[in-house]
Amino acid sequence: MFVLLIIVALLALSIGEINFTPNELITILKSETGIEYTIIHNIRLPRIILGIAVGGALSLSGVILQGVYRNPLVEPYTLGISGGASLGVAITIIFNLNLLFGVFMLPLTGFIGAVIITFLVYVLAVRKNYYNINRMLLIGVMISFMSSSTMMFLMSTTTAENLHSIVFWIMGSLDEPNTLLVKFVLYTSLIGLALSYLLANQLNALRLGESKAKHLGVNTTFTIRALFILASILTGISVSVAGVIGFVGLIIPHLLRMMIGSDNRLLLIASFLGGSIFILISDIIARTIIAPNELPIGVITGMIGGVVFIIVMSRSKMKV
Amino acid sequence: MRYSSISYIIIILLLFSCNNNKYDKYQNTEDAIRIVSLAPSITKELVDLGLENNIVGATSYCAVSSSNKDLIIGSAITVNIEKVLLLKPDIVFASGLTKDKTINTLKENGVTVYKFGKMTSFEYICNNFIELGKLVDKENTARSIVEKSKTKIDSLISTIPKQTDSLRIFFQVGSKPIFTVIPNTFMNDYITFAGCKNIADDMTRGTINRETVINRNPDIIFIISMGIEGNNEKKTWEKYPELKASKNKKIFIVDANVAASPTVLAFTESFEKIMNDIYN
Repeated sequence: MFVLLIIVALLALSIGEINFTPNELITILKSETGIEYTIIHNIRLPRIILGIAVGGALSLSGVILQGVYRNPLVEPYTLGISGGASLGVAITIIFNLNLLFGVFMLPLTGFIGAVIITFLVYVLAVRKNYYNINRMLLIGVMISFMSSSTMMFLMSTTTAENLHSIVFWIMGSLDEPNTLLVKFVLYTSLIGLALSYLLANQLNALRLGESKAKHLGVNTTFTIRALFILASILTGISVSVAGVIGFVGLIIPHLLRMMIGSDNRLLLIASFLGGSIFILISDIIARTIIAPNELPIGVITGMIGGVVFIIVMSRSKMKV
Repeated sequence: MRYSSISYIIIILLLFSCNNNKYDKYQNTEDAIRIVSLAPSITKELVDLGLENNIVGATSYCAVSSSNKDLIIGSAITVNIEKVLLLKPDIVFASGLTKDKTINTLKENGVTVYKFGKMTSFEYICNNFIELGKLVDKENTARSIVEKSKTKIDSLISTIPKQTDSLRIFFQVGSKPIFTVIPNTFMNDYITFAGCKNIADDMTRGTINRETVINRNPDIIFIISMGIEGNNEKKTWEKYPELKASKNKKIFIVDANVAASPTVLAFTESFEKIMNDIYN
């Protein structure tokens, strides 16, 4: 799996406006000058790193949420986390806050938006310290709808320039010139992966249901809370830098579950790698299919992801 | 094992698909200035200045791209940054629609980018055109075009007959939802230069209700051609016989390519046609 990731990453480095052979890649990277070096090092490499980080984070978030909710339709998007991030960014663009506080403002407000929504869902769903998972899910979906409506309201009453910025932000893109931000997403993503492993066994126990997990000795309150926060942070960071890229958190965990089973100790890392590979391949297609124009990556993840998923599901004899 | 063989096949196919002449189309053979334009209106202005051969990159919507597909570097909104870098342009002109991220990426990689602001009036378009002329060493050409256009517009304005009440105009630039021209945009100058009143001159946002338009009862309606939508809208307005514009058959379709294009020459050309529609 890891080998596949390396191969796909190399492909992504090589393909673009100009295609490079692996030998040429080595020569160019060694020379450190020239326009080809600029393209590979400053344009393609950050894109690939961001793609790996975001793909991994979103899939990981999907696995965690599907494990907690034990519901196959759950992913960061359906729970309103992406919606919260989009709302945060829309508000920033409309009130021109990004001009006040610099280039980190948009990702920051996106992240704050995601966190606020998470907090809201959490607070509304908990009563007397008792969790009702289904309640959380319903509230998450409702809040997702509310964020969409609020966004539509903001979009219909704002100026044309703001509208463009918001729409293109929502469509999702791995284009990010600020390498500091890219590194930040990568580190958060990897730390998230490590943290999720600390709770992998508990996540496995939760598959049996909350009460059975409790009887096995799992502190369900703490575990669910921690996992939920982890998933939200991973999603918030991804969405705030790369925009809304849907279906990754939904499809990849399912596909991998069909291939390697439901043991989270394997599934977590496999989903991370699987998500990265999927995003990189989608990005290659998005960049080349109507070259020199570029499609938003969300279009490709949705179409390809959906088609592949349906094909695999109809062939598979396993129950989801 | 299946996966690794598939990946090897993909790599081998890739190696064979790389051609040796891949740098040919980016060759810089002349000493002349190399310009990339990220908006159709800017491309038009460059052509007006006689710099058509200096354009090495344009959007898929620019007129120059229809004859030379190699020039395409993206749409009006997304830009293929790799291609722009490979073209090694001397200057890149961006519009208000270009993403800031794109502009920043280009600047960080050593490209000179000049961004045009919002086209709030004809005067702004003229000043911007002269600025453009200065940046590409065609200031005199730009100034002379502006002079001639202003003279032409002034002479058209002098033909306005003296009236006690200025005619009220509704200028529609969108449907579903209906969008009107509002003050502080260059298209509003079509109305004010013609000595008329925009029925939406108290509005700050362009979305307007059909009821509001009917209530305000404009004398003349201009509709921008939005493919077939323009004609559909015209038919819809003609269904209201109480509308003055409908009664007097003063509903006109205006070519979007010319009227909505913020360039000096396009504005002048549209203004002449609009004056003709209003007063003849």
